[in-house]
Amino acid sequence: MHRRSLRLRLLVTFGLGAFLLSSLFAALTYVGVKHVLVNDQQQSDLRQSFVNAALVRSTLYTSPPELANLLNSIQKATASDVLIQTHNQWLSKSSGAATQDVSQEIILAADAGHATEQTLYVNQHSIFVVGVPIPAVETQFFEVFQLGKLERTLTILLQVLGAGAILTSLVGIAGGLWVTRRTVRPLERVSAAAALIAGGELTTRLVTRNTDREVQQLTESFNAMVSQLVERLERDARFASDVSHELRSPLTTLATTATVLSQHRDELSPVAQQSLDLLVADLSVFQSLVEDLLEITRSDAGAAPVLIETVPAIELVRQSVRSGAQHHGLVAPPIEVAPDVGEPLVSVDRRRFERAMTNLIDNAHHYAGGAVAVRISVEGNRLVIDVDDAGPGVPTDERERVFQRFFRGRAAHDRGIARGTGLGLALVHDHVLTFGGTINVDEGPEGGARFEISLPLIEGGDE
Amino acid sequence: MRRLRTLAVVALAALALSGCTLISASSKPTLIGASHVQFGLLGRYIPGTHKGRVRFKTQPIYIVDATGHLAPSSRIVTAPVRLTSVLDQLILGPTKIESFGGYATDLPSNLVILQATITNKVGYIDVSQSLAALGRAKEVLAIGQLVFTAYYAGATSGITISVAGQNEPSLLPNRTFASVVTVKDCEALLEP
Amino acid sequence: MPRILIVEDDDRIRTALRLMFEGEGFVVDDAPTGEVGVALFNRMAADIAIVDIMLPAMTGFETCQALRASSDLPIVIVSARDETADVVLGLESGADDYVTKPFVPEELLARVRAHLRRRPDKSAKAFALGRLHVIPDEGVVRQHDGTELHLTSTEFRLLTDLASANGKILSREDLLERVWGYDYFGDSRLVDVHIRRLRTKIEPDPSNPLYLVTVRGAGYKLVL
Repeated sequence: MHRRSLRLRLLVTFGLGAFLLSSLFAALTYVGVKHVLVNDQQQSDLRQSFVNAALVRSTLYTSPPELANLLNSIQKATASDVLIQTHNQWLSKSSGAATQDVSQEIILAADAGHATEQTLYVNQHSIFVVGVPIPAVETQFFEVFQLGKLERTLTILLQVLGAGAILTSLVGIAGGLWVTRRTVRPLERVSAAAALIAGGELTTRLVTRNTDREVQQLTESFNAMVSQLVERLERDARFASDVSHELRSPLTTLATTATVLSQHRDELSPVAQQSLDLLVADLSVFQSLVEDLLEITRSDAGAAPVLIETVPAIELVRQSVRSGAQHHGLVAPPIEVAPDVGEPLVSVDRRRFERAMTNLIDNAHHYAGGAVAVRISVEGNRLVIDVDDAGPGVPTDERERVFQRFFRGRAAHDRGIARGTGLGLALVHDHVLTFGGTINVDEGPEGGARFEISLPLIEGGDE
Repeated sequence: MRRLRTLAVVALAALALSGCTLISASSKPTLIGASHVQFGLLGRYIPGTHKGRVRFKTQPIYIVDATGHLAPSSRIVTAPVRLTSVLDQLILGPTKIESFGGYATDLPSNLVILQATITNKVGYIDVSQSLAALGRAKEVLAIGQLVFTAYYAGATSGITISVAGQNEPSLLPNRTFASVVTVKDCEALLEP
Repeated sequence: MPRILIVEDDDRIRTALRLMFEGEGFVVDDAPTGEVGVALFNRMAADIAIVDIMLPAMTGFETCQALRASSDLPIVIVSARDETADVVLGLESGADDYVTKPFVPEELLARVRAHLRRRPDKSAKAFALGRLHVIPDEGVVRQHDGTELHLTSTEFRLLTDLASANGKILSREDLLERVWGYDYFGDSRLVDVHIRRLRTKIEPDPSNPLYLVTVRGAGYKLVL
């Protein structure tokens, strides 16, 4: 079942409901009133007929020649036509009376001795015909009443009620619009706020001027829920950050002491020396891990502000690569700049960029025996930096997941010892994203992996 | 469930709309129960009288057809038949339809029957104006109309016409005058 | 043998540092609090000091200020936080450099050595800067009225290096390398804060610099 708009449904319900109800009411009213009016008219006409028939009877009894006059005066008085029949022939009728108005059935019934009445529609008018046999004077009395006036009354009534129904429907629709707005708007606001929050705007809260209790409750509950969730998120982020933070001091001691021991390495026994080497090696891994953790949780907890500056890209890359390599005591890979690159500018946070480059070079060192080259080129309005190696490369099915936190690909397991921290590439990914760039891994020209960073170029030199 | 609901709504709507006609005509007359008929109209006798009733009879009157002969037409008069009422009907002349058919009356329409009685089977008719003014041919036919009409009204031995009380001999078809005109005298006037 | 003052309240770190520097041939004065550190310095002036920001009672910043007030020895502050505010405050208090924990001990060693090695370039010629007179071989800046303007050695080196560039633009990286001796520039804040401090001292209107000019996207230059 496809989803339908609540607004539409409410509106339709209101509009249709109002229309149906008012129409029904109008119809019922009309039918009721019509019934009463018509009945009353017919009753009164019938009574009139009886009176007239009695008059006719007495006239026929006392002075038959006066019949025609009587009929005419009846017509003048009540605007109805009277027709008298005897021996299946028309004896007399008021002037202008049409014998066709009296239907055969009425005549037959009167002949049979039954008084009948019938409403007929003749010449676009309704008429009410009464047939009364007067056996005492061997005649059948028929009277034709015009219902024109009644018809007019009913027409007006119908029009008024109809207009009323339409008006009510319109009011209903208007009401529907108002109710819809009042009920659906808060819902729309909530969903909009929820969408914002899902998108990361965690400071979004609902504000409403609607004073309905339910809406207020919704607003308060929603805001409370968001605040709690945000608090929890922040707490969690802070937790990781706090834990890492706590590790600083012990780590400092460990590193320093290890250095001291290294200073006195010659004084140690071979066993002790070997132990020291292992200690120092793992300590540096531990240090890297804590550094990476600190780095990544800092961004999560929003603790480290991002300082975006517009810098010349090539210079930036050169110096990042150099210091990154030095930081890990590695040889810096050569930097190859494509001929048509020119003097490109990019907007980055320098520290984070340097970190990203360092991690990439380190990664190449760990898994591919070192980066072969760092290549800079320009594609359209983007600067492309490729870190290529000649190692085993990244398997196709891991190329998406390799940037996830603590991801261990097959390469890591193959190596026996877990070399990296699992956070290095995740950090690169997070940082590159902060600059509005993208990072991908593909197959490099030397057969190994190619890590490609793509950054938007800045026009001119400003800021 | 949904279909049932819409069906109910539509039915209700149709019902309501159907009542929204103006006055509805009926195909058959509705019977009025005898108890509802007032003034004892259905009774055999007229209330307030002792077996009072009125009866009608169909009486012939004689009018003139297109060929100039006397021809009968029936009229309804109250029973017992009175010569006056029959003659009144005669004076009224042919109906519209009869007129279209070529029938006419030679009696002047403003003729008034002052008196008409039957004694010993002879009809004594007192009229307001003389028929002699009509001209010989018309006079004969007019008298013939009176004779035959009166015959069937009970004046079997003939009629005597007087004008405002003055006896007047009537012209016969054989050009003679007679004070009492019988149907035999006027036989020739009938359609052969 | 160079003398180093270590002010650090964490016993273990302090001890480890002492061991390390002694192993590298330094004479180490170590103090658990700022007050003791200043007292030690007053008695036996060290050649360089390492001060932890997080100290009880007398804070690291106050300790820096106290040390700076009586000497222009290089001061390296150690912080558990990398907040820019802390860094700026530390540098404003008189420090020449900062390191965050956990640090690579070898790096700290290298930095300390670099600071000790760098001496003002006495061969540089004296020059005038508005109403100021810069005399490198004496290591002083004289004001119009004859009084000396107090600059830290780092600030002085920064000024003279910019001067010796003869109006050429020096990037932050260049300055970091020349003055501090490193070539990784995550710490361009070092340069920026020092430039700002220099401006407050030598510029008539620090917010509208006439001499120490920023070249957007490139670096700084000294206009003579």
